[in-house]
Amino acid sequence: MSKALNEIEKKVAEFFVKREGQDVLKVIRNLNFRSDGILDSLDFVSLGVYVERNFGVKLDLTSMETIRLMSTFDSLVKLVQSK
Amino acid sequence: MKKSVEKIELFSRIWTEAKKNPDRTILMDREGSLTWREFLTKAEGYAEQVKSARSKIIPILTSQTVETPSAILGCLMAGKGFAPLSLQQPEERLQNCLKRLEADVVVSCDSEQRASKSITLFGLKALYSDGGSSRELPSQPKEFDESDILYVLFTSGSTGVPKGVRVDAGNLQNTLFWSQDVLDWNSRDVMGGATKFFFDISIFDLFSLYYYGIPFAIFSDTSNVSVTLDEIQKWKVTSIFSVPVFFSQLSQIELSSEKRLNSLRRIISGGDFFPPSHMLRWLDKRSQVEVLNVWGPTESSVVNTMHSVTKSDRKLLEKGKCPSVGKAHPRMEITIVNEKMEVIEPGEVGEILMIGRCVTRGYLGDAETTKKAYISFQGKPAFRTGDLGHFDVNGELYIVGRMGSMVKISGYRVDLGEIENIVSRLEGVHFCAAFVQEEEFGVKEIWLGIEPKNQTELSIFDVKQNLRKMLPTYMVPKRVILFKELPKNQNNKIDRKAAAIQAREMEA
Repeated sequence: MSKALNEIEKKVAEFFVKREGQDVLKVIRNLNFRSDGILDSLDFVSLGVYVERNFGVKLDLTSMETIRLMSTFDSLVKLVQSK
Repeated sequence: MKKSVEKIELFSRIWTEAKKNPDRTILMDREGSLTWREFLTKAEGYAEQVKSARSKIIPILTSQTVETPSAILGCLMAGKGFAPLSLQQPEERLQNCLKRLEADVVVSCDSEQRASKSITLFGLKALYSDGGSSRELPSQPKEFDESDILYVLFTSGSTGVPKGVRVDAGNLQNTLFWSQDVLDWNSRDVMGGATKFFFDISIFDLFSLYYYGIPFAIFSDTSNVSVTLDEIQKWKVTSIFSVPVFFSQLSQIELSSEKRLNSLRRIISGGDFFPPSHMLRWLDKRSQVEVLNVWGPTESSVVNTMHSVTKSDRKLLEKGKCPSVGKAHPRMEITIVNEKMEVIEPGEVGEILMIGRCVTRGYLGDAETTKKAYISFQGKPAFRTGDLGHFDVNGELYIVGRMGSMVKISGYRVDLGEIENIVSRLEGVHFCAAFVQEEEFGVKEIWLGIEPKNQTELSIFDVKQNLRKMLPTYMVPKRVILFKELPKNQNNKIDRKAAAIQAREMEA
């Protein structure tokens, strides 16, 4: 990763490190979690639960826009920060 | 014993409905819809394409559009069987299926392939159809004999090679006739197609259209709840048969106030355990929707039992236990046996055997595996389902799990041995073990333990990225755990149970 992670980013990244291993951090900003096969539909539910537990933020998983924003690391972090 | 022969009624039923209502819309997808007349004309276009093929079973590369039902009916009209295949699987796996089918042609319903009009696909002559143009209904084809193979459906196999289940016309008709006794179809019903066409639940949906004229609406993206809800409303879907994951996703919305669900009158859940807490949400928040809990392996013709979940199941559900899947039926004989193949008493857990006409015709080109699973029991054909269950004193069947390494993940049957077989091909892997972890009841994940070769440093991310290229998405393990040494049992075999426990401790 080119840029060091701030605290929120680190916490969000933990979700992916647990599933994908440390090396995911090298490319996490370049991944599309949906189209790259990292997350399936149930994983998005798990990610939603993780975000709610760790940040107290409830994401509307029925919204296409929310799913789109959850599909990349940077937009997911922004989504968490915006709530 | 005299063998009873049942006349196959596939085409006579289709043509009776089509002649009665040729302009009735009966197939819908994201791009449009087809009437009976348009559907049969389109199917005839496919029949023309495949009739001169040497193959008896025509492989179909499916898409979630009206093309696939048309191609399937077209194959049948040409007197051929069909094998629905996914393009979203590794090429090696797909090639294995094609090889087993000994196919000389392949029909593609994929829009990109249809647009490209490639002459060959996967080394076989590619067939497409733009449909016929006749305004008249095609003439009714000759019916199949009950012993003719209607389709071959591929499921996960332990050797890394998928198993092709051969289903004859009598097998499927038996299931359809059984369903008439348990599902009260009416003239307003519309079936929502929530599973892919290479999954046998969709075969049931499709043949409910063929046998009972139930309009069939194919959902465009079931991973997107909002789109699915819009489509349920748009097509006035009344019934959906799918895997529990689909209904679990839906149960997360405000079920009680969701107006887009107003047409829905029943959900049919099969292929896996429906988490009791999610079932309860449907009962509590959408009581006007009947919840049907069903069970049945591909090898005994899609579905064999059905139970309507009611308030009387509440206590069981509240304890986190699954309700019954239903009872045996004259068309669906069931018995439960112990390890000595002796019939056991209600309350005792054993392996479930399906018996009689529902038992399919074995695995394509795999006599050895067929011999193990397809047996004769008390003089009748029987299938060893590998599912463990018990009857209660009222004859209600309860499923408790699976024998051996076969597991159900998101409704897909997965042989963990197939995953291990693939993983063992990766560079740097010494031993591996795939196992299932259950986060909560009914929510299962595949995990993988790897013991690397001496001094090899494996990257978990690289392993997973490699597996994504080699396995269907639902078979890619969610977690990969590196072990210094995988636990072994007294016979020096890898102890998967112990590995699962250690993995959980390591990940805690």
